[in-house]
Amino acid sequence: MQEQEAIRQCQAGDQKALGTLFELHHLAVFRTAYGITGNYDLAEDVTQQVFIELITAIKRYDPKRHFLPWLHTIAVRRSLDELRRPANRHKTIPDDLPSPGPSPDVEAEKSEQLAAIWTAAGTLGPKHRAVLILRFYHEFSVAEISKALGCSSVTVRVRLHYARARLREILEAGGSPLTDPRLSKPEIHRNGGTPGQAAGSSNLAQVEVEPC
Amino acid sequence: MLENRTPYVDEQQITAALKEKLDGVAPRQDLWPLIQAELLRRQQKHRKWWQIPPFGPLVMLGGYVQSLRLTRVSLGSAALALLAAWLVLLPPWANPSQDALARNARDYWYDKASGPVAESGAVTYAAFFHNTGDNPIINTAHNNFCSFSVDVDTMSYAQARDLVINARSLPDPGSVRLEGFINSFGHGYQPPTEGPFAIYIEGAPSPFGGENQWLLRIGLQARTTGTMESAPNSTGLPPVIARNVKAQVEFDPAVVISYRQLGYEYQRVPYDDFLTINMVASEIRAGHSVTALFEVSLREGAQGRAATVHTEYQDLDTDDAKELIREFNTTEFGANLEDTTPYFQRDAVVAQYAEVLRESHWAQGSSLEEMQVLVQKVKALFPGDRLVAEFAELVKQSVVIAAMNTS
Repeated sequence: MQEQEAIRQCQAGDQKALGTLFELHHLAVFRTAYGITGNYDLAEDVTQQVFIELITAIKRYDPKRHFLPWLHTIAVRRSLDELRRPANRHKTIPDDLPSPGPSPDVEAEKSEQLAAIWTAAGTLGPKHRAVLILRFYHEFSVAEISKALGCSSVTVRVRLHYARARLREILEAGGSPLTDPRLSKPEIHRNGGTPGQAAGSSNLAQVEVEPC
Repeated sequence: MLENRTPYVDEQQITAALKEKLDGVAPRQDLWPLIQAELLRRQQKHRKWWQIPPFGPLVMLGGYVQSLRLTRVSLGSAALALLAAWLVLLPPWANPSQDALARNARDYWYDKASGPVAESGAVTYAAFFHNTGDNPIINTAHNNFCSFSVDVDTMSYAQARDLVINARSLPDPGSVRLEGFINSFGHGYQPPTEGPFAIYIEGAPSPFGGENQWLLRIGLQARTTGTMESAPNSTGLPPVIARNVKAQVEFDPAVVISYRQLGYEYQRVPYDDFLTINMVASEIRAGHSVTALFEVSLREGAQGRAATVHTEYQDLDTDDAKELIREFNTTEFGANLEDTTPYFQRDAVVAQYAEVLRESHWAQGSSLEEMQVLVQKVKALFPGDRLVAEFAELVKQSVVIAAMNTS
């Protein structure tokens, strides 16, 4: 209710209501931006840009849609824009990302696995990181992600597929423990896709370069 | 369906990995005041002419008078009167481009924190300088970034020295550039052995501020040797070490309440004005050094990172943009001014002398007579230093000239 009321007031031009929306969602936006850019400064810049842009963009918001996925449309695009700037291209996901702190011994192995996955995610491209974060951190639906990224559901699914397969490749190459030893490395065919995949969603290379 | 046929890392593990990392991150500063400030700045920037006082009130008053039928003046006559008032009060040709930076310093929203500003068009020194007023104290909640140029022109000090010693007159206040004064002396920084340059930061209680006011001395020192590609050319200049060097200080609002930049009044850079930031970017050559001073107010009992100096430069070999960052913690502040290096103490006195000469608002409690005592202490710290001895003589002569002018 608080969110809907704030959105309504914000659409009427009330900047105080923007403060309410900021309180509710700035952490989610910041974490998305941080996950994509891997840089505190850039993530802070993006968060500011998103809420500054929101004051005008919210007039285009359709109340029938969920607000947070819609807000992430701006957040993801601004994050990708920041990474496209020549000055920011060298700023990649750093290794010194903050750790939640020392884990108990019993949790050490699990924590090591999670850290390995996070490190591997850092080597993915920003668009794939964005898809991973929206799907697995914010738990948005594929349809919501496709609207947020402005691309088709198929592209989102393929990116998810590629990101997860690539994560596995990286983890295997690094000797990190995998989730299920019975699972083997995916055989990705650049021309024909993974064996057995349905036609139309198989060619990763083609989908990957599709502008979105 | 696609996921079921192909082996992947488990979804739950990806979720757990992302949650473990991302749940622990949050902005390091309160972004809301910055957003509010930016919105306000945009509003002011894009406001219509009739929203700028005095037109709004005048139009409203005109409408009110008209509605009461207290006058027979028609709306057309009122419009002509408004146009005439506009031409008299804000003539477009009275804003030459040379005043643009001064206007920036005067009009920017965050400059309203406190402090005096330059009078419009207060050009007081021939064609070389115009008085751009004094830097205000800036609340870090509004703006916690401040840029400074690494290339400083020291002509102002050379001119003041010539005027005082040879022409027996004090320089025009508008011509005194504090940064030019302090950068006329050697800085005493150790040249780095690795990387193009090193950043040095030193802090102590401010000699001219009140309680809880601290002076920060920030310096950049380039290495003394260059690469073969940038070896001295026919101009005889030292080799270039790095290009497009930009320096910016970030104050942590959780620790620093406000700050004031000493000097650099004529090229103050709004924090989001990338065009101007690029204007102050410059190349540095072997052995180059620069010092910038800031006065900061610390929050009572606050501990931690007070300031971070961000520098960005273009690598000569790869043309890549690179960063060099140095943080300064509250624990690094010296307890007394006397605990700092002689260079810090000398710069503090030189800065104070420049502030007095330029009749700065922030030096209202200081006088040239006081400076004589301070400069003798500094002179004792630099035995045999020709430049410091000359500076002491400069202060002495300034006192005599000021006394003559008064009488």
